Amino acid sequence: MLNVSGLTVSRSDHVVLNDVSLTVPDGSITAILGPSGVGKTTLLRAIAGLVRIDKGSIVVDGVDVTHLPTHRRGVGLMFQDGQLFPTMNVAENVSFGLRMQKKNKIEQAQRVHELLTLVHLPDHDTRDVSTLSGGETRRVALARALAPSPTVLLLDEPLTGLEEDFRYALAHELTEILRSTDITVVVVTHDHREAEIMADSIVQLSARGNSNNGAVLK
Amino acid sequence: MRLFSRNSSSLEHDVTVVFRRVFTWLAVFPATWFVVFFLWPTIHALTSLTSWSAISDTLSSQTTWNVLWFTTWQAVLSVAATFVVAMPITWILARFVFRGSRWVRGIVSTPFVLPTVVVAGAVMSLLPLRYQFGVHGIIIAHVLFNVAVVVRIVGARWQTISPNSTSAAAVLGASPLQVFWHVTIPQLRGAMYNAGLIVFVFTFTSFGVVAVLGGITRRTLEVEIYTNAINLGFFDTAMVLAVVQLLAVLLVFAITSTVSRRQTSDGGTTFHRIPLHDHPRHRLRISVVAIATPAFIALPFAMLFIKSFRAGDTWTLNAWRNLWNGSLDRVGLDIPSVMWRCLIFAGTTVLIAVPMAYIVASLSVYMRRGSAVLRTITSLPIIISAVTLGFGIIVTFNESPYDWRGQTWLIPIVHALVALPLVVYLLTPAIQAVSPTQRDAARTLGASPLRVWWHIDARLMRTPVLSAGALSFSVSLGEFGATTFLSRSSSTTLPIAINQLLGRPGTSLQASGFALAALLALTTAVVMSRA
Amino acid sequence: MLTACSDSASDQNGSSNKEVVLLAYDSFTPEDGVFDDFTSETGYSVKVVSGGDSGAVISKAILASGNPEGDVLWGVDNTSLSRVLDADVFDSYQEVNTGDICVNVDNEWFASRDIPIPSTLEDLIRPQYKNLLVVQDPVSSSPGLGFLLATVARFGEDNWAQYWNSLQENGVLVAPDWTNAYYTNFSGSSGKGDRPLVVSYGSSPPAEVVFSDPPVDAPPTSVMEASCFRQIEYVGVLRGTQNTEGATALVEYLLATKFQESMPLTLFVFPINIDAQLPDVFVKFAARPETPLSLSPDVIADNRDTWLEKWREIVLS
Repeated sequence: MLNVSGLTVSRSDHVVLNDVSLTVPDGSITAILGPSGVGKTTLLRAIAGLVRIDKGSIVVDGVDVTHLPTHRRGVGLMFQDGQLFPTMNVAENVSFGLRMQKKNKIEQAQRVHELLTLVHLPDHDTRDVSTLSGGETRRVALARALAPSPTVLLLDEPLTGLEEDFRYALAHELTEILRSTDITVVVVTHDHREAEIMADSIVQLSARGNSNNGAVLK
Repeated sequence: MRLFSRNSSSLEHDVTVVFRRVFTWLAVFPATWFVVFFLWPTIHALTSLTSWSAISDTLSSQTTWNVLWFTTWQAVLSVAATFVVAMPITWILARFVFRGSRWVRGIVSTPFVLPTVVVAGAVMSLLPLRYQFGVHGIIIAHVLFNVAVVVRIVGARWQTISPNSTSAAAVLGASPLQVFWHVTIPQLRGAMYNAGLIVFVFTFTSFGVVAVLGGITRRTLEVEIYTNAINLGFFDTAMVLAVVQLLAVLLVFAITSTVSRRQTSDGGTTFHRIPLHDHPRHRLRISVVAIATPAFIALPFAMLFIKSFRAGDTWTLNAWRNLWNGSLDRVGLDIPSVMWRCLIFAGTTVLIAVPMAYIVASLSVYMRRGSAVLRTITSLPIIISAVTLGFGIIVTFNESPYDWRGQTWLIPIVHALVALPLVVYLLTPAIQAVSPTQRDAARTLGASPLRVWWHIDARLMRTPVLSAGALSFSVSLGEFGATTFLSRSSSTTLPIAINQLLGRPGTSLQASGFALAALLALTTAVVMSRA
Repeated sequence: MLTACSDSASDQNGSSNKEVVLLAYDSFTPEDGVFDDFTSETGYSVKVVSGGDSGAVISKAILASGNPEGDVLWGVDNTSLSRVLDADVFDSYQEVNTGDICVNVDNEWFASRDIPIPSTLEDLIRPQYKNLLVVQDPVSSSPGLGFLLATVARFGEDNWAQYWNSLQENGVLVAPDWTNAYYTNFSGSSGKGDRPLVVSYGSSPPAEVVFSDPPVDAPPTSVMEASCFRQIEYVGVLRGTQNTEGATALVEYLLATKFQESMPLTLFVFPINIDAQLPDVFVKFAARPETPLSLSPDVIADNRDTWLEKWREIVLS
């Protein structure tokens, strides 16, 4: 379960997020909808610990992670364009989180195989990541994010940049995969249909009036 | 031959064709200069002096191997120390923007352009008497110089690594150190090898620093070449050592180029730096590093100034006054004349180096084949060190009709040779940036190729040429290795005078040495800031 | 010595384009005005050009042989004469002074610690004298080379290297040149260094008296006579000089009584000219061993290179 309360984030001269609160029930998928630039990505990055917050708290499964560094929060994040590591192949990418958890080689191999099967790419383990298509990249990115079994998984515009027909088909596929796990998921998107396909509940993030007031959640 | 004929079957811009022809002819000048004053002395010294017995004697001497060993390990240590000091600040400058970041970058990059004896003097002023001669000083001086190399080369590559890739690793549970090791370093590897190679070559062939700070027991190959040639008169040994050094440098080149071939280049997109204020954690620690690193680098130079005003426990202007009031005559130094002479040398160097480098750089841009070979040849003065060059000249031009020993005009010629690779490196991208289409436009408006050059190229080259001039000027002011062979008492230069004065620790002479070094540092920094 | 021609020539010219350049090493510090008589007698002014320490001056002269940057060379001694003659540097040369290179002792230092003053070369490798000796690099310094040759003379070709190994183990400090060793590292002179034993000249103790401030009656230093090596210095006209007349005149002047008598108190050497009077302080305090260590110039000539090479191997590793 993810609990965000009173989150305020500001940049040098303006407020980006203004007193944002959010509760995501265990095992559910929540979508955060909002126009581009409103601060959705910033919200995700704040939850993951990648940006400095002014005020507020973030609680993951009862543990206050607000002051913990990113790598100890147990929060996974799938980036917009996948962000696969260019110097590693598919299997090495997927097993990265497991290596950080110091799992042994056999466990790593098993889990990698399990996840690649889950995302329907069972034979891609030794592929060079620069040869993957857009869809394949996202799937590998999802597998990589799932591998270390995070408590919470955040997805930042996972389908942006893909062709329309393909996008919604992949949305269904991803939803199926995510539901088959028990992870609490937050998806950020600006596409209403995408949100409806994937999420159990949808929340809106909107900018209130001028740029001095940051985004609020409705 | 019609200089301006069109080759209508080629798709090339006709101005390019003309330029190629013109510069090929003009290349006669730099080629002659290069062959006469660089290739001939080097090859002649090599072939006339090395006999088999000299080679075997030198190679079987324990001293040779001791010196080679020291040269190697101090260079390796220097590279490691440079990376340790430079990497944090490289990361900070590549990733963040903050108030004063431009100053930090400036301070960190300045020592690289300063004369070697000045940096050595600055380190000497910092160290207590016990440590003034020894390997500690040498390593510190090398680090001061070469941080700039890492910041520039590795920093440029670091800016093309997506910040999201490090974030992606963090959310997968990687601590900052693990992120650096698993994600960043593999992407930086190529740039690190390049920077490491350059730092290694510079520190391996280091002369000024080791001459001033090494004392009796710490000698590198360069210093050994000098000692054997000048102090001992063992010319054969000197030449064999020069060959050993050359081979060692080439070997390192060969090794690193095979390794760094496998680099993953991420295109050239540079990612924006974020304000330091917005970084989630460790802002304080980062700020400390951002201040401490330039402070560490600036400290020796501050000390240089301070020590020049001290005599024992008192503050005094004596060290500075002595530079002008003739009290240095007893050690044979007339500083005002030396300064004047150096300005003339430097000016002459600019007049030689800039046109020659421009011709060579232009040729390498316009020629169809072999530009890589040309670039390698122009880099030779760096690979074949300045000391070897100076030595080659004095053993080649020593009998009629070219007994030019002691001729002062040799000095700016040699300075220009030393500056050549750097100036070509500076000018080439500037020449490449001139758009051929612009020239075509001028052509269609009725301009002859000469006028095209004058109105388009010459205009665009004004700033780069000014930078090239500043660079050549600084190189000449600070050149030490070759000049120690060529100068006589009547043609002493500032670096030689500084070296002489610094060799008298604990006396007012050394304080004057500090003063003169500080003056030279200031002048060079000012000249180079115009570049 | 006096030529009417040059006299009238200088009267006619008025300007002194007539200059004789004397090349010497850094520590060649003649008395102020000692050349005035020479100038008024011959019309030539003397310009002293210092080219570094003795080793550097000689090497430069050899490299410049036949195309010198001066007219007269001062700085060659019996340890380097052969090299210079081989390179055909001189048109003519003469002995100009003699001296001894000896280990100097800071008496005060030993007295205040109640340690007996070492008296032989063998003493210098005894543990009680560890870390007390400073010598000069024989590659570039002539007293340094003199001391090295002294050890060769004393211990012979087979054993001198072993002696130097022991010196190394006993903490000998090698300074780059005489000025550094004497004025920075030596405790008995103005530098107040931390080493009470230094390789210097037999005439250094009287120098301490001459330069002492406040004045003293007796030198605070003494000489270890058993370590002394005889040094003979030469002066000569350089081959290829444009000014043979002036050069020859200057050499004659340097050998004449006036200059020779100024040498003891400025250069701290013994005059070669038997007519020159020695100052009191010299007579009283300068060491003049009857049988100093020495090697024949031929032996030096044949082996100098090898010995230097070997020395560097021992000391630089």
